[in-house]
Amino acid sequence: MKFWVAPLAVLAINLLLGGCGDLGLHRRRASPNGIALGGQDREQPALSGQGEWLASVVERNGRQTLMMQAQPSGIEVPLQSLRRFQPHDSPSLSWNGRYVALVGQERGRRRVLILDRASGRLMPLQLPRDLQPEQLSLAPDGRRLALAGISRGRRLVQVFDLANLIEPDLPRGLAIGSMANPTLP
Amino acid sequence: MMKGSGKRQGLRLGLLAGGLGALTSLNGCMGTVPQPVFPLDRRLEELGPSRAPSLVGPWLALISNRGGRDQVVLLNLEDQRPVPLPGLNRPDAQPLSVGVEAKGERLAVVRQLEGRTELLLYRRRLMSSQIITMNPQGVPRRVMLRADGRELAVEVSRDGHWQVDLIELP
Repeated sequence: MKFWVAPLAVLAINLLLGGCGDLGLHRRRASPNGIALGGQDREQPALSGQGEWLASVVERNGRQTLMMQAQPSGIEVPLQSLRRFQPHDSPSLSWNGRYVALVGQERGRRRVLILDRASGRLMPLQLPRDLQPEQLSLAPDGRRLALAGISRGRRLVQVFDLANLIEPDLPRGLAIGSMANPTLP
Repeated sequence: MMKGSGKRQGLRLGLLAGGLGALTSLNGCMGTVPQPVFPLDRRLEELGPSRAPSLVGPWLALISNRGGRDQVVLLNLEDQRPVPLPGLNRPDAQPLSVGVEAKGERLAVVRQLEGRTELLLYRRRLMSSQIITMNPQGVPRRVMLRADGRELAVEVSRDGHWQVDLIELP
């Protein structure tokens, strides 16, 4: 009898999950929505680790610009120091939205930037010369950065260690030094 | 005698300070230098051409091309080995975007399959995929799973515009 119970339970759960689709999921359009943005496009969303912040890319004055908003209010926080690095691409946020990583552009060259919103410090990263950055993902604690790009005609993903460059942004209530086994909410 | 020695020492200190200052300025112009994580990079190279990374805690999800076919790969950075994802990578599907949560249990994937583009939530332990339909109707392109696993941010093409949908997960 016991032989039947476990596989049947897994099958039942699979059927329930697969068959019932996503009924009951709560959805919302990120505010302000497309209409409030004047019918503009909004792309490349990135949420902070616990959802208090949403970064996305919108077009402003003809340039792709990172928009940083508190959630769920949609209140926008200006990021003046990033202006000169437009167009912006591929934003990524740390746990509490302290760090904003993105691909920007300076004098026609694509650059990876990390903004520390706590101190206002903007860090352009010096990457290998032959690596053309395209897309990135900042680890929520800010200690590592995964970067997708093209190097010598080949698409690749590389991971960089930032632990010596920035202090960690930890989930709320988690002390520095306890990240070895983080307990998630 | 004492005066001359003091001057030399002052000169040395001045040169040292100047040198440090020049180095700092140079670093400021060139940018901060991050270090690649070795030997992870070698491991990533072995995966073949890769894109669309999602790095959360000890997990790195990405799309890599092996034998001419794109597939979702989940690496545990502690042992730098791919984790099995049974049932996720279908030979007739083309993954476009992937996101992983900090626990590494759930992955969100946008893929093209049989001429349509769909968003799905994959659970590793159950080896199951749940299709999440766009409502109102739209075509997903990019997905991001919040690190705590409680919400999806989806880039959706709808009514001729790109929009962002936020979908809470149970």
